Amino acid sequence: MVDLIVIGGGVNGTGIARDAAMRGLSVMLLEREDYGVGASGNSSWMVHGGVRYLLSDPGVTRDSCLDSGYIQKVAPHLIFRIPFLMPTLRGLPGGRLADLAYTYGAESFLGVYDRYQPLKNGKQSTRLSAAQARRLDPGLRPDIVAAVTLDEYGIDAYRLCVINALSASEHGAVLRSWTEVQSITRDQKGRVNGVLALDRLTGKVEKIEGKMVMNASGAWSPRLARQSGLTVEMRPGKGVHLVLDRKVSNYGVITKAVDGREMFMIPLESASVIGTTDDDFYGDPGELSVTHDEVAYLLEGVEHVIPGIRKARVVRTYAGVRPTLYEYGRNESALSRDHVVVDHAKEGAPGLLSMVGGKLAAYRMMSEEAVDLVEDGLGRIRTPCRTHVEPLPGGAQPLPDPLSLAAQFETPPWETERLVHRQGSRARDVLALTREEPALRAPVCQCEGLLGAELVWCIRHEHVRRLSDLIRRCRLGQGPCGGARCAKVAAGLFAREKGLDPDAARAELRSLLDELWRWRRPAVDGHQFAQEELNRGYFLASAGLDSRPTRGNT
Amino acid sequence: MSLPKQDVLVVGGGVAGVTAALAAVDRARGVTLVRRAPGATALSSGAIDVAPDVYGERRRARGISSPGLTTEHDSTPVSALVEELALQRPWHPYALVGADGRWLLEEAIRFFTGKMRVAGLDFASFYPRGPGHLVVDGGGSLRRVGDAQLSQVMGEVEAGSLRVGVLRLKANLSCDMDLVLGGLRALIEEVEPIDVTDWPVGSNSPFLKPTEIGKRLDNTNERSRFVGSVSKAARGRSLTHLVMPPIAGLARVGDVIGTLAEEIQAKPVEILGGEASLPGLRFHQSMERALETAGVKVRDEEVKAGASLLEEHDGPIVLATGRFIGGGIRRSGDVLREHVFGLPLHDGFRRVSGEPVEVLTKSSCLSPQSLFSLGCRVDTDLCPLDLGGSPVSDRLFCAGSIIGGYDPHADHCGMGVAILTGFIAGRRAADWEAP
Repeated sequence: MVDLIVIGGGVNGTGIARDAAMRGLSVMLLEREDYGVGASGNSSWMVHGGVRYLLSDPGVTRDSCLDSGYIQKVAPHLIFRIPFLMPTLRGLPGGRLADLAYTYGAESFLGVYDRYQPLKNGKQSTRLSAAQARRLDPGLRPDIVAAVTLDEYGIDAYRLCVINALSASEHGAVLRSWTEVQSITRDQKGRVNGVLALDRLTGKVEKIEGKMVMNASGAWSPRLARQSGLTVEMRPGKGVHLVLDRKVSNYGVITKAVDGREMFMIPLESASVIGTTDDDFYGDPGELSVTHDEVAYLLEGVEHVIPGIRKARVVRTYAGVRPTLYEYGRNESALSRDHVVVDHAKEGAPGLLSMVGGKLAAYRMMSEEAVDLVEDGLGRIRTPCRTHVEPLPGGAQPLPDPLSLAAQFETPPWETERLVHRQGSRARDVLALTREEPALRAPVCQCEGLLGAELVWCIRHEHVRRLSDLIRRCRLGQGPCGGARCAKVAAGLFAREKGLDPDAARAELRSLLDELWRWRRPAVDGHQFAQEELNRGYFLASAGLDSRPTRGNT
Repeated sequence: MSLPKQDVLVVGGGVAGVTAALAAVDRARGVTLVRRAPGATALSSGAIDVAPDVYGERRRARGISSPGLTTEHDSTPVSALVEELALQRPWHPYALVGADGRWLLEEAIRFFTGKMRVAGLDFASFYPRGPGHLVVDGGGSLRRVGDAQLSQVMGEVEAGSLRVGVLRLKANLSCDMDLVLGGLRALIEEVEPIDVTDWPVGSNSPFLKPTEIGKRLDNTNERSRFVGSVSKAARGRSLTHLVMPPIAGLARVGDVIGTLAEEIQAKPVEILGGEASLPGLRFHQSMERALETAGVKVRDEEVKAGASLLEEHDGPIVLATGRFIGGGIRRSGDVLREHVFGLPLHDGFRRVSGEPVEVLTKSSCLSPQSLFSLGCRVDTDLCPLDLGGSPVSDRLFCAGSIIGGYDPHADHCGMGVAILTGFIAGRRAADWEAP
């Protein structure tokens, strides 16, 4: 019997598993698909301070900024700076005077936010003239009044979940991905004593006993609770993003959608990302799809400040569902982003806690609070939390210099820089694989800068059970080629490392292609049509996949 | 658009356009070929797919070992598979051209591969009454195709006597043959890896694409080094075939295969071209040479949308602009349009124009779906039809994937349709006389 069963492998679940394992608890983490596939990995990938909530929820803002600073300390390699431009546009009633007043207003507002910036090493904001702003981003519409800057940080959210899970594992936690909890088990007195879990890849059902159960399954929480006769109240909010084929701006740009909602476009790794929507979601979070309307809405919003945006090629979309706190009668965007740890003892089911709400940037603090309550529930004295001081895997400073590594291992510099971004201080161990197999020095995915060595490392050391897990570990197939150049080589390496027979290898490749297609499909337009036609010819004619799925395909 | 009045104007430089141009020249007609780019042939597998290998799956399920490769099902003639497609799909170009058109398939493909041979690229030969040629695809499956480059075919196989080596160049991932090895092992009893670690040499060898590696083998010294390394690794294995990555030279395929075959006493078989396809590049270059030899006037320029070609040019026109890669079909506003004439598009079942992509596609990436079957409607003479169902003009013809109602990749007939329709359209255009 373990001390703690954690349900959900998002940033909260993995963060809680890490903290609990570091405090010496025996932990088992169960994730129904792969780490981060819910709201965490499909978020805007920003550990931002929640400037939006400055007026309504200043506590959330402060907490987010503080924790964002901690995340920077323990995962410095995953973080990247996003300087934002917030342009003021003409057209307010009152003419030029009103436009200027609005600009000064924005400047003051951000000036208040500036007080929190030091918590996360962010620069102070400043006002730019229209000419200055357009020099930084020539794509901005010519008639802006001025712009105010804002400093934020982005992060590889999938990897954040993975390294928290790896850290938990390194401290003794047992990790089970592709394992779905079917129900929470209780004894005669109603006390929660474990779960019933299904390994989705083997079909095996297992009863796992635990003294405490932490439900961190995000948007899946309400239905999981319902299945066991319990309640978790939530207002799940769907958010959609678009990904372009390249970075079209080095700066984040803030804009307004047609309905007045604030929206943005940010530089993210080697692409630009447009986001996001926020709509009440009543469906199955595992069966999300992006609609034509959502794509059109987002493009229209960015076009408002960047008129040429429709010339850009949208490569793919992604979507997730936020586990927002429940409140009746408020618009989605106005809901609180605070979090709550629900103790189901009040429902007669002691031993079960549920995490609801929150922000990506505050995950570490939320996890600390949750594990404190878990220790209370176990009757232990609270152990001091160390998740804000101990580096996550790859986060040990000083980080290696990519150019020196590239010279030493004879790997291409840009791809090596990407490797250091994703793997941090472990990059050297990854590159050591090239000593025994020099062919791994070459890139497998040229769009995302993925070396063969990194791919093989992830398969061997990062709890990869399915080929599509590599999408989350190292961005396989996330670029414009949609897998045309990388999927087959990756499938070959995966089959080799896992000892798969050819039918299983083909099924995994097919599954990967379908997963990538699922998110490219809603936004196919312009040049992307040609890419899809090309990919089709390549996989059907050359690579030997069948157009009808064969047995063994999921 | 100033070109000789009675010239045949071919729009599009892919396989269909080139076949049409060559067929028209063959009928002693002047031809101008206008293209915005040389086409995507260089990215193709290098083989000529004519009809789907419907028994391939059964072969994969059952495996192949003695007593043999050729079961009774496997001997179904390609022509029967073509008839089958025509029967099942009334809008398929094979159906539209009628029995007379299908009868021309052999002549069309032999005509085309004949031109390729003169241009320096040898194909195996198309026998419609035979089951087609066995080739090895990137997943290690054995497929039957109508025709393929000589370096790609397994050839006649003796029952129970196969000993297949799979050449693995360990220095380079893009030539990765692990999937091929696994796939062939499931089909054939005697399959083994032949690992070469000492070629290609050089610290940049992991970074080379198959096309770059292949071009090296055109050089005699590099070729001997390669053959030496392979022969050392294959010593004593008594192979009948050596399945290898698609790198057997660009201009000197014959020499590469010949030297290798003699040295290892086995038949080298290139797998189908994939990413950075060298067999595709050979195909493309041979087509360029064939156009030049035939005296086709080639112009590299793009025809603008709505260009009034029928008004500007008095002679016959063959539209062979392909689909999305070729730019024959584009999205303008929210509507998918045939680019040059604005012809109505259909997918084999119904008319298609402004539907969102999610309606035209399926959730499974490679399954047959509307978006990848789009094109113009044509009549038996390959003249495109307008909204009312009448031919737009008696001197306007279509060839290749600009014709709708079929999926060239899922139906495994892309090249067959391109060559057949190109041949028919080219001849009809050449025979057209002004009234």
